[in-house]
Amino acid sequence: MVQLLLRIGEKKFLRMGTGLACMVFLLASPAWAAKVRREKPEAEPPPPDILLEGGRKLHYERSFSSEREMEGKRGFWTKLVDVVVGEPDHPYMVRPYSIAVDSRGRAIVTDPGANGIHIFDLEQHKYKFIERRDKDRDPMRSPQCVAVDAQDNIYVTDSTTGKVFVFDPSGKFRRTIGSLKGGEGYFKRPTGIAIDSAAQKIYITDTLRDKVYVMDMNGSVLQTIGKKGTGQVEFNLPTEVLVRDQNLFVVDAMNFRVQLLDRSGAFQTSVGRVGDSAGAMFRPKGIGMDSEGHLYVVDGLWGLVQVFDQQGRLLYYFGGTGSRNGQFQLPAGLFIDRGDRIFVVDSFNRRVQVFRYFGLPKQAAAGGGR
Amino acid sequence: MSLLPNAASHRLPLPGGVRAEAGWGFFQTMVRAVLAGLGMILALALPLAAQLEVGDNTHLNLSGDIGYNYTGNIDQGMSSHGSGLMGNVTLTGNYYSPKFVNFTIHPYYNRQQSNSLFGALSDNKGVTSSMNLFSGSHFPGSISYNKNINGISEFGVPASSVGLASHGDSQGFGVSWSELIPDLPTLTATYMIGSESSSIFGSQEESNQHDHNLNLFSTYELAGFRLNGGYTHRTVDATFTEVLNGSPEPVATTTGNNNYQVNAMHSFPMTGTFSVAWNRSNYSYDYHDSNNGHSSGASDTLSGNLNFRPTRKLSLGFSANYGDSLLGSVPETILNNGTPVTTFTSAGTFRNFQVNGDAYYELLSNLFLHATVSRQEQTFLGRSYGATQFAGNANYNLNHKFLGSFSFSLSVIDTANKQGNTGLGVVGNLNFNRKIAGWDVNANYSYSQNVQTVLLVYTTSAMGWVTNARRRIANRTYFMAGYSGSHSGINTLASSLSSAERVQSTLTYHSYSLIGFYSKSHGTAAFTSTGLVAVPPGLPPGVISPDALIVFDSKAYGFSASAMPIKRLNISAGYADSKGDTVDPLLSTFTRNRLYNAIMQYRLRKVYLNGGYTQLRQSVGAAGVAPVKVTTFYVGISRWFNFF
Repeated sequence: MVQLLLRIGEKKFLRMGTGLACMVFLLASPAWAAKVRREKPEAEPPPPDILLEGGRKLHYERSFSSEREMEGKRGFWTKLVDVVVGEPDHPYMVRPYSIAVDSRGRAIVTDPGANGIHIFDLEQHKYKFIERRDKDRDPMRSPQCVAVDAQDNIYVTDSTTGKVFVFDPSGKFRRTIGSLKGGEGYFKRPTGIAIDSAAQKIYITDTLRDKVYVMDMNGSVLQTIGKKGTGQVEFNLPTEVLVRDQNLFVVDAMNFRVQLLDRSGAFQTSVGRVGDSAGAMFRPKGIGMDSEGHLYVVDGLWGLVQVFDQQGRLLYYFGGTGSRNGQFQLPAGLFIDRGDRIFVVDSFNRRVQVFRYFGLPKQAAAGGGR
Repeated sequence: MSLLPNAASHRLPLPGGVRAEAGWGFFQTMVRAVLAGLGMILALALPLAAQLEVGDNTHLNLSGDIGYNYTGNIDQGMSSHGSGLMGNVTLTGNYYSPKFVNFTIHPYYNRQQSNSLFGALSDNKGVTSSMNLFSGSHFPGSISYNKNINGISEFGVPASSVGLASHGDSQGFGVSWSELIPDLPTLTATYMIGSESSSIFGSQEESNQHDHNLNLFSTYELAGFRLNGGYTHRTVDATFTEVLNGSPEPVATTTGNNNYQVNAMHSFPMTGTFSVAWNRSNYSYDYHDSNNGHSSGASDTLSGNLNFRPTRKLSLGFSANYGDSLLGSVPETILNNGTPVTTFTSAGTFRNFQVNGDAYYELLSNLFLHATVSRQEQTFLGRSYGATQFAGNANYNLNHKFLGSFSFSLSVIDTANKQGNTGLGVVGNLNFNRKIAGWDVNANYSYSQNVQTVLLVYTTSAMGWVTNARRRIANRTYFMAGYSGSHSGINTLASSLSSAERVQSTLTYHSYSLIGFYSKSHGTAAFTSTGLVAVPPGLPPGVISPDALIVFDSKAYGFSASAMPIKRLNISAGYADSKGDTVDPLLSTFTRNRLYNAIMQYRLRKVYLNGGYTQLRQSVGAAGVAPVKVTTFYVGISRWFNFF
C-alpha cells in the first residue's frame, strides 16, 4: 500500500489527481460530518374539499408553475447527464395574468412579466414558450388576456402596443388584429378578449376607451358597446369579457360589478357591488362559467373566487390570501373548461391552481336541482 | 528615483501547480487540466442536496462555482504557466433565526474577471463577509469584513475612456449598531477601518492608504418636529508618489476632519415645510515630501428654509443662510475622497449671509415660470461685498406624438450692487427628441454665461452637449452614433479651461455588435492615490494652490466586437489605446496604454467553459520610459453547485 502511494507520488499527473480527490473529499466532508437532515420535505397537503348543497363539491386538483412539472419520467441517462452538468433551466412563470384552455387540454397562460405566453400541455407533458419581444416587426410587449377559437388558434391582447396577436395552435405567429399603417395599434389599451367561433366574432374590451369592440375574424369592427359611466351598458375601465350561450359578460372593474348583456349589447342584469362584505367586489378580475351556469369572479385584492348564480346571489367562495395550496395572492385570470376544471392564475405566487367542480349528477339535476 | 519598470515587481503570481520558466508544453498541460477539471466536477456532482443543519439551530447554505483553470502569462519576455483550482462560492446561514444572527461569506480564489476591462491580469483572490445581529429587534447590528488580494483596478484619468491599469490589495472592517426604541431618540453608530495598496503597471511605486471613519446619527420626533443630529469623524493617512508629475519623493499626507450637524423640520400650513439646520466642520491636513505643509480650517453654517403652496399653481419658498467661513469648507468639497489639496485659507475671515425668495407659477400645463430674488453679503480678504440678484426662468415642455418631445428653459440673472449693475448672467438648456427621416435623434445642449460661483466677485461660463442618432438599417440591424462634450471656463484664464469630447458609434446586427469610440480631454486635476481627480469647474482662482494642480491632456480610442453566434456562447474582443500628457510646473510626463482583450464563455446548463486573453502594454513616467508588456491567457471549466 505504501509503495503504491509512493508510486502515485512519483507521477505528476497522478499527484495532481490525488490532490483533487483530497480537495473533493474536504469540500464534501462538512456535509457528511455535520448532522444533515436529508428527509425530503413532506408535500403540502391539499386543502379539504368544499362540500356544497345537493352533493356538489369543489375539489383541489393540482398546481403548476414551470416547465419542470410538465416533464415525464426521466431515464437513467437523462438523470446521469443531470448529475454531471446540472439540470436544465426550466422556464417559469414570472407574472402570469390570464389563461385559456384549448380543445386539446393545453393551458395557455399569458405572462406580461416574461413578455410571452406559456403553453402547458398537461396531457402530453410538453411545454412551449412564445415570445415576440425582440422582433422588429410587430413586437409583443405586454401580453395581457388570451382566448382560443374552435381551431385552437391563440388570440392574445397586447395592452402596450394596442394590438391583438394571433398564433396558430403550434405557436407560430400568423397575424395581428388592430394594426394600423405605420405600426401603431388601433386599440388604446386592449385587455379582455373572447371569441364566439360559431358567430365568427371577436369581443375585445378597450379599457381606456370604456368600450367593448365586436369584430369579425378579419379584424373589422362590426359594433362597439358601451361608453364611460356608471349606468347600464356604461363602463368604468372594463377589463375581462366572457361569451357564453347568448350572453356577454363584461367585468366593469371600477364600477365593481360584472354586467350581463345580450349579444346585441342590450343590458340584462349586473352582478356585484362595491363594499367589503360577502358578494361585494373590490378588484374583480377573471371570470368564468361552469356547466351549471354559475358565474365565477376572481377578486384580486381579497385573494378569493366568488361564485354567483345567474340572479347575482352569492353561492359560496373559495381561496383566501396566502401561498398554501388553495390560497391565492393577487389572483387574476380564470378559465373553466368543459370538464368543469377551474384554472385560477395565482399571479403573485407565480402559479396556476386547478380545481374541479363536481355538480349535480344529471338525473338529480333533471329531478329538481338543489 | 527611477521610473524604469522593474519586471520582477509586477510579475503576476500564478495559481499553484506547474511552473516553467521557459517552454510552454501547451497541449500536454491543457489536456491534463481539462481531464483533471472534468474529474473534479464529476466527483463534486455528488448530490449534496438540501439545507445543512449543524446542531439544532444553525442553518447553512453553500453554493457557487468550482472549476479548474489553465493559465499562462508572459511578463517582460519571461513566461510562466500553471493550472489549478478556481472558485467563487457563497455561504449563507443563520443561527436560531435569520432575525437573530444571519451571515454571508463569499470567498473567491483565482476568480477570472471576464467582466473586467483588464481581463485576468492577475490571480485575484479574497473574501467578503458580513453578519447581521438582532436584525428583527430594536438593537440591530452588523459586522462586515472584506479582503481582496491582487485585484485589478483602474487609475482614473478624468473624462478619459481608458484609465491606467493598476493592481493591489485592500482590506476593510466595519461595525454598525443601532438603537431603535419607539418614542425615544434613535442612535446609529458606525465605525469602519480600511486600508489599500496599489501600484500602476509600469511603475514600481506603490500607493498606500489607511482610513478610519466614525459616524453617529440620531433622529427624534418631538411635538411635530423631526429632529436629526449627527457626527462624523474621518482620518486618512496616505502615501504615494506622484508618478505623473515627476515628484522626486514620496508624498505622505494625514487628513482629519470632523463634522457636526443638527437640523429640525416641521410641517407648515398649505402643504408646506420649514426647517432650520446647523453644520460645523473642521479639518486639518499635513503634507510631507521635500517640503512640509500644514493647513487647517473650520466653518459653521446656519440655514433656514420655508416652503408652502398657497394655490395649486403657485408655490413659494424663502431661505436664509449664514456661514462664518465661506472658503473654509471648500477644500472638503473639492475632492471628497480623503486626499485633499493645499488651499489658501487663512487670509482673514470669510463670512457670507444670504436671503432668498422663490416663486414658481404654472402658467400653462407645459409652461412654468420661476422668479428669484436674492440678497447676499460677503466679507473676505478684508473687504465687504454686497449684491442683489434678480433671476427669471421659463421652462417649456412639448410632447407630441408626431413632433417628438422638446423642452426648453432659459434663466436670466441680473446682479446689482452699490456700484450699479454688474452684468447679466444667462443659463439655457435645450432638450430635443424627434424622429427625422428614419433617424431617432436626441440632443441636449446647455449653456451658462457669467454665472456666479461661490464668490460674489467671480463668475464663470460653461457649455455642454450630448447628441445621439439611431437608425434601423434592416431587420434587427441598427446603427447608432453619438457625440458629447463639455467646455468650461470659456471666458476665463486659459489655465483654468477644461474640456472633454467623445464620439462613439455602434453597429448591431442580430446578436453581433461593433463599437468604436474616440475621446479626448483637457483640464486641471489633483493627484490622489486612486487617480487624477478633476478640479470642479467654476472654482475661483487661488482657492487651490497651483502647486497642487496638474494640467493634463488625454486621448483614447478603441473598438470592440461582441457576438453570440449560438445560444449561450458569448465571445467578445476589443482593443483600446490611450495616451496622456501631464504638465506640472517642473516636469512633463507621459502615459501610454495599449490593451487587447478577448473573452469567451459557453454555458451548458450549470457548466461553464471560459477562456480569456489580455495583453497590456503600458508606460508611465518621463518621455522615453520603456513600457511594461504583460500577456495573460486562461482556459477553464467550472460548474455551479448548490452544495447544501
